[in-house]
Amino acid sequence: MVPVAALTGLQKVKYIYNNRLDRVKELKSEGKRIIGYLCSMAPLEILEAAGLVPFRIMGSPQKGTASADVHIETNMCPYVRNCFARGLEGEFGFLDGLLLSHTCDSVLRLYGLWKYHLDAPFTHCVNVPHTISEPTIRFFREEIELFKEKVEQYAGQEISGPALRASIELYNANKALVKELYGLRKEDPPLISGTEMMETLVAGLSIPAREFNQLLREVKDEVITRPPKLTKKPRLLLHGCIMDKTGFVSLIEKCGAKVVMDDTCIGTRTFWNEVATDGDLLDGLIDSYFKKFQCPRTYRGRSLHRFDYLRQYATDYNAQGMISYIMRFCDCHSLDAPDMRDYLRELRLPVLIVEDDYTEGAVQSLRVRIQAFIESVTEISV
Amino acid sequence: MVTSSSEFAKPIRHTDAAKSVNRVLKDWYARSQEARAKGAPSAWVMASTPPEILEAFDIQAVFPENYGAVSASRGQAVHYINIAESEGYSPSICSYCRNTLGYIQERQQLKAEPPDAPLGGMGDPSMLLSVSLCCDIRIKWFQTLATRYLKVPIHIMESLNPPYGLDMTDERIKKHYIDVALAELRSLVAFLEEQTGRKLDERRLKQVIANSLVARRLLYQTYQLRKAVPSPMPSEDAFACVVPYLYMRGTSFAVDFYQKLHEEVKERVEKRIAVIPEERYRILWVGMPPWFNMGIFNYLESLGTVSAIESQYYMGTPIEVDPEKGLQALAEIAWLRSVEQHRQGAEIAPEQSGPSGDVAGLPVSLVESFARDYKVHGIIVHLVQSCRIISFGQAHYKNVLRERLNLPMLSLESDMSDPRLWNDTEIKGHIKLFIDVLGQRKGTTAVKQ
Repeated sequence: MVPVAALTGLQKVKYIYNNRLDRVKELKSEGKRIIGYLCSMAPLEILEAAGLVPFRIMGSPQKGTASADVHIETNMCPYVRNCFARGLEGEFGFLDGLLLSHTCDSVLRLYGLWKYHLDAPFTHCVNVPHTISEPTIRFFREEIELFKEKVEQYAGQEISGPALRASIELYNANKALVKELYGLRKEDPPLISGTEMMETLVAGLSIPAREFNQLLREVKDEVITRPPKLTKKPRLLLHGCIMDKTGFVSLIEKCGAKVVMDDTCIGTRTFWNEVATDGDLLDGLIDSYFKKFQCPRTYRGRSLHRFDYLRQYATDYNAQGMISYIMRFCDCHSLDAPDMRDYLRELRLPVLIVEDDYTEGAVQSLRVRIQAFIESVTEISV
Repeated sequence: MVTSSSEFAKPIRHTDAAKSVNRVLKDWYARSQEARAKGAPSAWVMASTPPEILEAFDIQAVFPENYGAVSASRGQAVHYINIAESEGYSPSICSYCRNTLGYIQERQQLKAEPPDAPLGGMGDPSMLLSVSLCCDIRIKWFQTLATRYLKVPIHIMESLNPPYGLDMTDERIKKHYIDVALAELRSLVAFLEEQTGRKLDERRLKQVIANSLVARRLLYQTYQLRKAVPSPMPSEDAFACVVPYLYMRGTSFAVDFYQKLHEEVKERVEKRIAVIPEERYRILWVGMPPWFNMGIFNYLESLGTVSAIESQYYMGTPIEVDPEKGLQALAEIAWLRSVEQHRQGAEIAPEQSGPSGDVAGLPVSLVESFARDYKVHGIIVHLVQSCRIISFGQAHYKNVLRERLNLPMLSLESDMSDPRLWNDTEIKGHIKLFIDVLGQRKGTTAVKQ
């Protein structure tokens, strides 16, 4: 077996994707403190600036939720239950802390239960308003300040202005590199598949940002120099809730399409908004993590124009249709679905909305619907 | 009108106050329709938008959540829910919300009030008022109404509560939350001033807040009386009697209502007028009720069991604030409710203390104290499938209460407004078995120390 240190690019991505705890456990053994997080509405730059290592908590659909079902009802978010099950079973026993944000009801309540059952030396929940106004922006600013102070207290060091700036620049570089890689999907056929892209992002969120940046550079070098694929396939935009495994994207691509762009949690929602550094850094963080953060949990008015960014994605990446993946019991996505469907129909962009419960079997059962959708997209394009 | 085939569809209530609530609701909807006909400002309002402010502005309000319960109890919810689902709304979405979306869809297709609309329907609002308290869906629901159906101005008030584990004695945290609550209340007032063309009458608001505090105190005192054995007032009555508090609490009507309720329950205790003359078992009901089958409580009674207390819609201990502070008083109430929530364990329901003091979910220690103080022999947990925010944590309740109390517990699953999730035979079977267990443990109440 080739040692991981000898791997590069997509091979390394695949290794980390399949062994995503290895690196953080190694860092832990070196004395680093690891903070687990879920969702992307709390600035990781603050953890990084204090010398802590952020690690994205993810689930394992093949392992089920039995241990969490003892504590959380089965009509709740299957993803949250799955992550909690992994926590209860000790998979994240190496974590020194937990950082959640009030993104949705399930995640807020997961925070309470996690802290109650698996308390850690550092736990924090950033409270995020659902509406954007002067008072709520002020509130979010204070939330960031409180979070920063708590991190400083835990890390035993003040986060200086230059340290925060350096951390923001590191993460901005990360986002810029991800965007560059996304840019290669504008080619037809795309230079990197949706499955490879997702593997890369999941792997990257399992290692420190600096190492992720190096990995992104390697992946880019690899995909632009390898022989290009010749067969053109229908190009799709993927929308939806959290997807942290490649199963669904891979199914779409095996069914004969290419996922060329996304509006998903481990995708553009996490990587699209660089933090401005030309003014007050906190203002930059507020813009990136609150005002611009794209998630249906935030009220963005009554107009269907709230979906304009999807049109932009479809145009920029030349998508011929969209598949929306909604995690069962995700009220925010579910309630938006008919409005979004109508908006896209108005644009004559075909859309397929599927509901899933974060199990491997459920994904496979969607095959026929996806195949039929891809065929219909192909016919329309012809 | 779709009629329910369940034998539990028609409840029998016990107190005069509870029996009067049907009339209260009819009058309220009729008044609202009359006011709208005259062009008075009217609103569809999400519960926990402070009714005190609505009253101070003379806004005629109807509450879609309430209409979900009303439609369910009158056998019309399935009709509306089916319409919403055929429009693409997932069956997992809150049944109150699906009820509203189906109702408005039909109303717009007919260009008139649907002929079977319970209580004459909700009518056309001149504005939509929502609040972020409690669950995500409350914002999305009104966003959907405003996007697809009702082209009237909308306001969404932010209601923020401290997450679990925060230091509630920290003055900075207190200021952080009170400041944003006050700013949001002011924003609501500014919106209403614009919509009504009138300035807030501060003197009136103060009086309304004073009324609200009196109503809360009377309701609390009534709940204290409900500890009596035998039970003077069961859960099915409490679920009805909460209507004036939730929706009209700043009014003098609400004060009168709770004064009469208190007197009536006091008299029932003094004269030992019981819900069931031979009370064998008392239970604590956790969760929302099945509004379409409230007769389930009468079924329990037929088996010698009274639901003596419930976790839902408990408004908590009286809160002492100075009504003269106006909006500041409402912001302080929200904070004080949060403090109380955290003191008793906010790991499950940290986000549920709204401006002016509504609370949707209870901390586990309070539920525990209910079990002890109301001397219950068992607990029924009703998991409502489509309301995640109330259901989330019931498993935790059960785990903690099992550790702390020595009481049998029964879990029932259905919904608050979607009767398709109910099965008479199954529910009866579960209840009978549960009563058998209570019988085997006769005499055992919440004794574990």
